[in-house]
Amino acid sequence: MSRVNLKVSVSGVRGVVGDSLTPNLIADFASAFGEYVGGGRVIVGRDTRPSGPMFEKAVVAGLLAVGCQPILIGVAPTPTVQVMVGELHANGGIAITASHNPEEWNALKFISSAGIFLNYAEAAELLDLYNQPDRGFVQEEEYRSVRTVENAFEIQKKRIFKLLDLPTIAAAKIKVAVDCCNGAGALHSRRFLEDLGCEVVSLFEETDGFRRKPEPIPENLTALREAVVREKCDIGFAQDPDGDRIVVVNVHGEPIGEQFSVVLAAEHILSKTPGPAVVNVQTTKAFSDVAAKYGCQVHFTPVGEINVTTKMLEVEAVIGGEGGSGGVIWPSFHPCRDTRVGTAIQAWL
Amino acid sequence: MQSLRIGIAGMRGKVASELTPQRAMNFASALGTYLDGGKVVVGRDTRISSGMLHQAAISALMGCGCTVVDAGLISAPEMHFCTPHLEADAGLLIGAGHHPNGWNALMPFTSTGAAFTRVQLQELLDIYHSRRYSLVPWQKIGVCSNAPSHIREIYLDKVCSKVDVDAIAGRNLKVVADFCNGTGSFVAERLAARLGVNLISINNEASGILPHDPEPRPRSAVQVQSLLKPLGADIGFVFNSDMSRASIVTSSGETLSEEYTVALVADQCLNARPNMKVITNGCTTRTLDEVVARHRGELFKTKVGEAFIVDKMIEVGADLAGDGSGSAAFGDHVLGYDNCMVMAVLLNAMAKHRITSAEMASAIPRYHIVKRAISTSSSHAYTLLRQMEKFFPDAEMSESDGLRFDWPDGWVHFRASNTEPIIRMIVEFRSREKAEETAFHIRGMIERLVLK
Repeated sequence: MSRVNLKVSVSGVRGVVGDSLTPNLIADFASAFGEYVGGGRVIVGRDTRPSGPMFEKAVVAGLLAVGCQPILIGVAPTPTVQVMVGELHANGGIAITASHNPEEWNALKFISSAGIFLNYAEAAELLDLYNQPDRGFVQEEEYRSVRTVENAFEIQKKRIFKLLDLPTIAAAKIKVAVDCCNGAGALHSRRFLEDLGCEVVSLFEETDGFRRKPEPIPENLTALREAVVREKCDIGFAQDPDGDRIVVVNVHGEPIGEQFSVVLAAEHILSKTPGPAVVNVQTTKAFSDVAAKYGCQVHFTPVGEINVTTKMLEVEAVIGGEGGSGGVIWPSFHPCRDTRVGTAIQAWL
Repeated sequence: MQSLRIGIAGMRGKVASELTPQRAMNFASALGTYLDGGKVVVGRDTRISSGMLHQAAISALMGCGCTVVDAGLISAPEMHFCTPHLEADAGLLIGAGHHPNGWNALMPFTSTGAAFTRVQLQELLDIYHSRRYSLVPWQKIGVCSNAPSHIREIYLDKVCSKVDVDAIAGRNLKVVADFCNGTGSFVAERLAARLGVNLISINNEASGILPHDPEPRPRSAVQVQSLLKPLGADIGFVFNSDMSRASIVTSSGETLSEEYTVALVADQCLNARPNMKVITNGCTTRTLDEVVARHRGELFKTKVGEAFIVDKMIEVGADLAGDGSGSAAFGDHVLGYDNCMVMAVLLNAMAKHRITSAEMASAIPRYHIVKRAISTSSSHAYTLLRQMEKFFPDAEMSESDGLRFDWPDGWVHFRASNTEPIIRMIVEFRSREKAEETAFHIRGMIERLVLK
């Protein structure tokens, strides 16, 4: 068995299904994480990949064995898992998703009780625990039951809507095309936009496997670009499989580049509530230009969502994100990348 | 303390210390590899850890490309039925049957619904020990779906077809049964409804928390016994947590040893069909020998273990098989122990012959049997036991399974358990005094040999 395609890093454990990434390894990692968060509730969500149900069961077994209560939210965007950690007072969360990687990959992303990904130090502690020869399995008297929560996305939607100027958005009668990438967003994006008062053209809504390459880069978005022009949409959005990245397509069907999602969001948020902004070092200079326009300071961090969120919490930033991945972080809502936030802010423009 | 056993009865152990999610997944992966994909029915009992092991096993099977049919909470006899009925290539039952709290087990079944034979298990264990599991790439990962919900009724159709339902329903029988908070209550309550029997269930919470020792011994029967008379019930049953063992309490309030379960069933079946073939093991009560002889039936003896007994049943085309742990399997039914059938067959006899359970019990000759479990962590238990030979020069010795010494009025049998780190000693004599005294005496001898 080749192990070269197994990656264990601060953004979680990732590998090729059936080769380096086995149910056994996933259960073991879930046990180590359950031990790391000290038992209690752990939110478990997954994207639409075919290996998701198998790994979900492995995660549940691993968590139960160390005395955690798995709370299953089913197919859900990663940001929804992060939000539910706070909503349900969980000690942590596990998102089973390999994000924008193709279907042969899968991964676990580990989320702390704060609802954000484990930072470098925490991830290192988790790995230390994983590498111990013994796992802290509990006796069955200490086992907890498995719970399922059906309406996780509804809870998240309410939370976003509270922050938006809904009448203004509805009055604008925006026509939107959204490319859900056959991912976790496919279950919710249409409803979300319709509830905002938009007219919606939705693509790649099936959840039985990816029908386009999952990374939201211009060459993978031909269908969306054509749809925006054909259907005369005001704007188009492209998501990735776990709904934490977004790319905007303009009225002419031209992707304005994933780099610009966060620029557009900053333009909007900073014009209303100026304050510090945080991006990674691979973000377009246009972001700095926008911040300068409103006299706001920009902080730069290494690449990786956790690095951005950590800095944002530290400097109390009002907006942030990662240019290279199309991720937008609006801390008034939640300190995580969320395509819904990105979408909503754009729609608000 | 050795408490993980991997052998003829699958993989058994104490949860957390020995039976970890990883070991369960490796065992299930070995099964998936052995089957090279295919369809597997997975069921579980009510034990608290069964939920965890169930998820672990299903995940591992899916990873080997197996199509999984999740039968959820299910009794052992229903698993024996479901596996061939759903045309699966194998079954996997997660549950600890007669083991105490804190234990659990994974038991594989073949496509016929029978337990794996020794040869099949050896092949499976070779894969398990090699750790070379064939995991499939993402496109081939197995799918898990739920078993059809009416499967229990189809199984009960089969049970009901073996008895005279109208005759039983016509008698208004009242039954008290203890299910040890296991999976038996689901199926037995439905069976009672179909047979028109008034069933009073106790310990039917399905909580997985054992209310008493799960081996259906007379000492576990106190609750049923105390309810039987005040309720005016016709018969009482004490089941283990997966319906593979039972002991019986008669209408006179007598708790019968679980040894007599198969003897009672044999007596009734032989009444209807004399000359039939019966299978048992080498350490079941002599009562069964006498009952079978009385009806001119033919008795075959095998090594201890459900797989050996059921195998022999198939081989010789026997109508009944069972052993002194309170179990019985029926020819032309499912290939495993089925105590739903035990209940149905005894109620059928009571209804058709208009006899009480006390009369049924008085019709069989009695021995007095003493069973002892002697703890041993020694891996040389058998070698040590061989030294017993010189203590009983007057007895006839047999080594076909463990060690057995026979005298004209009784016998003693020793064997190392397949499922736990203990030596099981069974002593049976005509008189209670002789049995108790012999058991006391021999236990001292063994402890001195084994535990020093």
